[in-house]
Parts: sequence; structure tokens; C-alpha cells
Amino acid sequence: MGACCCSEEVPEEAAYVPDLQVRNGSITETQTRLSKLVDPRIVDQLVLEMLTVAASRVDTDEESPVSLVKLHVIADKEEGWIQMVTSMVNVIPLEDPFGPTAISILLDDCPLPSKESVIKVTHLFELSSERATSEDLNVRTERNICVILGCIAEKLVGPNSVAILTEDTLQYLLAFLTNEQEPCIVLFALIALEKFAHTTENKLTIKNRLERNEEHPLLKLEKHNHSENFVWRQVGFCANWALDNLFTIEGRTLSYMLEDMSQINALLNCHDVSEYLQMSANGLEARCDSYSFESVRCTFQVDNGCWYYEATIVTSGVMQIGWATKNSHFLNDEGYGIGDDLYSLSYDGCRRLVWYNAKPVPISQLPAWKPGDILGCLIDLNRKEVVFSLNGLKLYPCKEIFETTRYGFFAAASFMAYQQCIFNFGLEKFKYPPTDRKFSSFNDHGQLTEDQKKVIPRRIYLEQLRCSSVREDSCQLCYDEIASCVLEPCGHRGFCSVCTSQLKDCPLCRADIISIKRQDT
Amino acid sequence: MAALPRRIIKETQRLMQEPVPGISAVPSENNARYFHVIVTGPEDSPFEGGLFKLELFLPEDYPMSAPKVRFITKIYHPNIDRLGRICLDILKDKWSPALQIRTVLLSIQALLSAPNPDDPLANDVAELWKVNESEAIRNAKEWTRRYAMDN
Repeated sequence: MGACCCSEEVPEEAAYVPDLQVRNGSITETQTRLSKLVDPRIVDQLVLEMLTVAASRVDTDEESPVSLVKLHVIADKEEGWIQMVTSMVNVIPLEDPFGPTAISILLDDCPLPSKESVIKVTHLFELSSERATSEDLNVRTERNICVILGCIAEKLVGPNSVAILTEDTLQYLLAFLTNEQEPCIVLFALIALEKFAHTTENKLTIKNRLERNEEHPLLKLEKHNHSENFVWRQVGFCANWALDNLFTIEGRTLSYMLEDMSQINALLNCHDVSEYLQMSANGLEARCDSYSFESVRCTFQVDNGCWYYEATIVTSGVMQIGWATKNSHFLNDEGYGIGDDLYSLSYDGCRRLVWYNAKPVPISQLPAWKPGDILGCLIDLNRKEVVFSLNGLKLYPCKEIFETTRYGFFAAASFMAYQQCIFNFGLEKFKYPPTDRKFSSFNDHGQLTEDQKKVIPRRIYLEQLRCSSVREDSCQLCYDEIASCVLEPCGHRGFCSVCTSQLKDCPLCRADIISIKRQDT
Repeated sequence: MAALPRRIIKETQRLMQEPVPGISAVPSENNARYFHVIVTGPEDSPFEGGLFKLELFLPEDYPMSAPKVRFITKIYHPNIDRLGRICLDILKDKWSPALQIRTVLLSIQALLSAPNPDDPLANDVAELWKVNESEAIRNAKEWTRRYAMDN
């Protein structure tokens, strides 16, 4: 069926033979002889360079930065991969908001390690519960190890993920799940466990181990859900999400059933969100822990007038928050989100950019956002303006989006890995309400049915879907509509009008479609 | 999530009920568009005995555009590059919405049985495959043993 076709499209990997000459180093190896010979200082330096580059890189299509390419070549060999991981553990600083993301990028782009090399690394760092409970642990090192374990677990789903979750590694991660530990380590240990749990066997193992404790560690951690400390708050969010979605406890009521939604009339739409975004049970807080760009829209549609909402920044990394329409697509896998097409506009306070049509405009008058900051998003359809503000400091009005769109706007946001924020659609008093014009809030005007207010865990929703059945006379392409069209001249049938309208040639015989007839029933 | 098309539900149900011999494709628990795939190396090919892990993702406009598929297990093959990207016409311009996940995976399995060094993605591999096929096959067997057999 399939033959090979594409000599022209993909860049030749062989062309990237990097030159590893480094000014003060002495290494002039080429790709072929590179193995255990790379000076660790050079690897450290490349990892740090990569961190700076990752921070400034805005175009997902642009060529990989040189440091990244060099690291790829080093990591192509088993020893090199271990070296790179060791470097990341040692040099990625705690305070850099890109740290964990940079680790994800590097590990994601490098060829996958064998389970032996992963286990070698865990031995190298002597992972164990003793290490996790030692008095003088280095917060940065342990945080980085947890981030790395999580990324590897995510990539090696399946039997390999089971093999690398050794007893020592499991105990190491579990030992961090306490209120007495540094919250940033707790957070990434929990995320690593969540990622190991993508493999069912691991999930059951972890679930059992968690339940073996006198008091379930996640039930304790979940209480930080509304913490004023933003790192603990993330721990609470993740623990709560894990309890609802992954490590469910028999007899525990799911959070969405307990949530008082009576005052909430607008929330993040749990049926209009990309796959890996995690939402709180009240639908007003969202988080992404996956290496993709996850997006969500609000339930409330804006067609006229002037509207305002606020987002509290929980993490200081890359999020693009603003306004979108239903024409904006969530291409999470390709790194496109809100602000990356003609129909959406967003502010990214980490890199300090306003995004429209995937083009960034740098903002110099505002500082980079930090946890606790309030992003204000105002849309004024009378004056055709969008105005962003950070802690009340306003940006110049953005107008371009109104050239393509006049109505049908939704509050919307996209999140990179490990990012989180809280939305206020008017349920709470606004911190920095606009003073120069009258505005409304979604919560004062929204109307939702009881069903629309339920933020059901995704696994339950998918389970319901999988049990649904399909009609026999439905379209052979989408199965959503009734088959009603005949393609002419080839005469193939069994397609609906929606699908047919998107076809140039027949899906069955590839004959050109000259006309479409209605099928006689 | 954006409403899941029935097409995806239907294909998933069928993949579960009547799996393709030598291929396992399991949807991720939390993402119905993401499949964990394992392809068994075909008999009488240098990949025999190997278990190759792939990821398969159905984009938003599937089935109007092709699934995105990538090898995760390292493989020595002229039409698969270092990052696991696959050179297969039905994943590119020869895609048709009448093709399915199962047909795509069958084609990939067929590509393992019949490497095509004249239309390469991994140039160095293809070069060797052309000038010294027996050495290329030896390499492919060695990589299979090293990367695809340790489960």
C-alpha cells in the first residue's frame, strides 16, 4: 500500500555533523569517534547555552539551535546520553523558569535511551529512600532528577517504563511526598509518578504503595490546593488531579461532585480543551505537565460590548493568555496555541510578547511576570480594541484581530509544560478593574446547565464515549453524519455532505470528483 | 476536549476487538487521539524478533489529514531516520481519508519487510544498503538485537 516518497521534505540528519571545537577546550572529535571522550565541562556549557537559547526561541519552525544539535550528537551514544543527563542534574538552576522545560525539550528530541542506560543513571545517583530523606540534600539536584525521571517515564511508556521504575527509584520518589519536604521537589516527584503511571502496571504498583501508608500521602498534599504559596498550590493541584484521574481511592468522592458550582456561570470549557490540559474541579484553574502546548477556551462567548477577566499567574513560564474564536485550532502537538493564528490574540508575560498570527511583538514596558501577578484581559468590541495589563499597568491597545473577526470571542489560554494559572471570570472581585470604560464580566451574564458545570475527569468521559455505538448507515469517513452523497463520475458512495465538501478526489479510487449527487435512499 | 469524532471511536473499538496480527495499538487512557503502538519485526526480515515501539497521533482534522507516526525504538532502516520519522507516501501526499490506523500500521510493517534504499530518508543507511546490502542487513540485525529485543 505505502511506498516510499519523500527524499525532499525532511532535512538530512547526516548533514548535522557538528563541529565540537570549543575555544578553550581541546576537543576536535567528529561524530564517528565521539563517545566517552567529551569533556564534561563542555557538556555542562552546552546544557547552559541550551537553557538560554530555549528561553529566547519563539519560532517552532526555525532550525534547531547549534547547542541543541551538538547535544543530540553527544547523546546519540549511550555514554554521551548519561553524560548529558548528569550535566542537566548538576547545572540547571532552580530559579530559571525554563529549567524543567529545557530538560523536557532536550530529552524529547534526543534518541531514546535503553532501559539499561536509565538504570545506570539511577545507580549513578544512588536513588533510594535514604537519599530522599537525607538531611543535607541539594534541592536543585533532587528537583532536576525528579524532572528527568518524569520525562523519561513519559517517553518510555510500556514495558520499559515498568523496568526503570525499580524498587529504589519508586521509594526515592514516594519518600518526597510529604509536607515536610521542599515543595518544588514534592511537585516534580509527584509529576514523575504521574508519568510513570501512564503505564498501567506502574499505575497499580504506585496506587497500592500510596494506599499502604497510614494516611494516603496525596490526601495530605491535596490540602494545599488553595495555598497562598504558589509552589505548594501546584502540589495541591497535582495531588487533587491525580486522586480524581489516576490514583483513585475507593470510597473517595470525586472532586467535581463536591464542588459548589451555584455561583459559577462561566468556566473553562472541559469539552473545548486539548487533550493533556488538566483542570480543577471548579473549572477555573488549569495546568499543563505535558511536553506540548495545551489550550482551552472559556464557556462564555462575547459578541458585543466590553468585557474583562483576570488570570492569576501561578508559574512564571510560558503561557499565552488572551482571546480566541472557534476558528482558532488547538494544534497542541505542533506547538500552536492561542495567538498563533489569525483568529486569536494573546499575551505571554514570560517572554514578554504579544502574539497574533504566530508573530510575536516584543513588549518592553512591562517586567516579566512572576507568580502572583495579575494579568488583565479586556476586549472592547465597540472600540475594536484588546488591552492587556499586568498588575494594572496597561499595554497599548491591540487592534489587528478585528480585521478578521468581529464577534464570537472567548477567553482562552495556552500552556507550556509545568505551567498553571487561575482564572477569574467575575466570580471574585477583580483586582485591577479597568477604570477608563464600562465593562461586564462573564460570570454576571453567563448561563450554564447543571451538566455544563460538571468538570468530569477525562477518563470517565472517554469511557462513556467508547461505549457509544455507531449507526450502520453513517458516513464511512466521519461516522458522525448519515451517508448521503455519490461521487461522480466514479460512483463511489457512503459519504456525508460535510466530508464530501472537503474532498478533491475519491477516497477509494482517487478519481477526480466532477460533481456530487444525492444518494437515493 | 474538542468533541471526539465517532470515526476515532469506531476505529479504536475495532482495533481492540480485532487486533492486527503482529501489531498492538492501544489508545492512551487520557488522550483518545494518541496511540501507543508496538510492531513486531516481520519474519525473514532483519528486524525479525524485535519489538518496535511507535507513537501514533491523530491530528485535529483526521481523517482529512494523515496520522502522525514515529518510531520510538531505534531502528536501522533506509526509510526511517534517527528521530524515528518514517518516509511513507500514504503518510504524506498519498493519504486518503478512507485509509485507517490499521492500514497505516500494516504499511509500516510492510516497509520493514521491504526497505527501499532508492528513496531514502536516512541517507547513510540507504547508501550502505545500496553498496553493501549484506553489511547493512547485519547492522539492521545488530540494532534490532540491541534496541528492540531487551523487553
